[in-house]
Amino acid sequence: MTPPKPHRVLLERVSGYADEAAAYMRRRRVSRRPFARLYYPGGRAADHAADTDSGGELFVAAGRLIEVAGRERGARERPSLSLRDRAKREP
Amino acid sequence: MVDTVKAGNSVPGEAAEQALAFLAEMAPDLRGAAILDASGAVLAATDEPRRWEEDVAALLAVADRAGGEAVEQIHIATEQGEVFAIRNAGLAAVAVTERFALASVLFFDLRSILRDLAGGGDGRAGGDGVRDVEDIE
Repeated sequence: MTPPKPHRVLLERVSGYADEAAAYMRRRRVSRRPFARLYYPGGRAADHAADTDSGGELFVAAGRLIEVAGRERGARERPSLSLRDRAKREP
Repeated sequence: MVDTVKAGNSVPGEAAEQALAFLAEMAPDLRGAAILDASGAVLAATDEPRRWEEDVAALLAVADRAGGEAVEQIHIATEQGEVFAIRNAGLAAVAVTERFALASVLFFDLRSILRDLAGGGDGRAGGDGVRDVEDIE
């Protein structure tokens, strides 16, 4: 029995890593729950659960921003005003 | 604002708009974004600057109140999308993305843009879109 060609071993190893990464991303998508995390100078961070007063307010405020941005979905398919302006300015 | 550097007052709106366009090029998950000065006025927004100004002010106020001190960064992930906000160099930037955007990369991009704008640049922070990996936290 001949040993496998070296490049095949390498390919299988890379494929294995890719499969692991894909599985990790799938688990992450399924298991990840909404969160609100605030970071302070010095590196301190604090989580605020949605069922607390502060967490609820944060989610409401974030929801408004998502709503504003959400209406712009598809806007990136056309050139933005900035890009158009820049194209006009550039020779 | 956390950082009291007064750069935010001297950043031209045109530079901020270029910075937003650059951010849109770099971040494929981006839905919308805005850059604000130290007073909370919008320097550039992807659309509806007044709405962005009001809603960003509300978010920052709620966040400051939640912890009893001024926040530096905000990351809120919901089922509908994710919100990132950062204060740096007297400016603030807010971005709304699809779910599961890479937070560290987006925060790095936002911080780089604000630093560059505050330093008189156009927010391109290096100009070629290549990130200095060593600077990523």
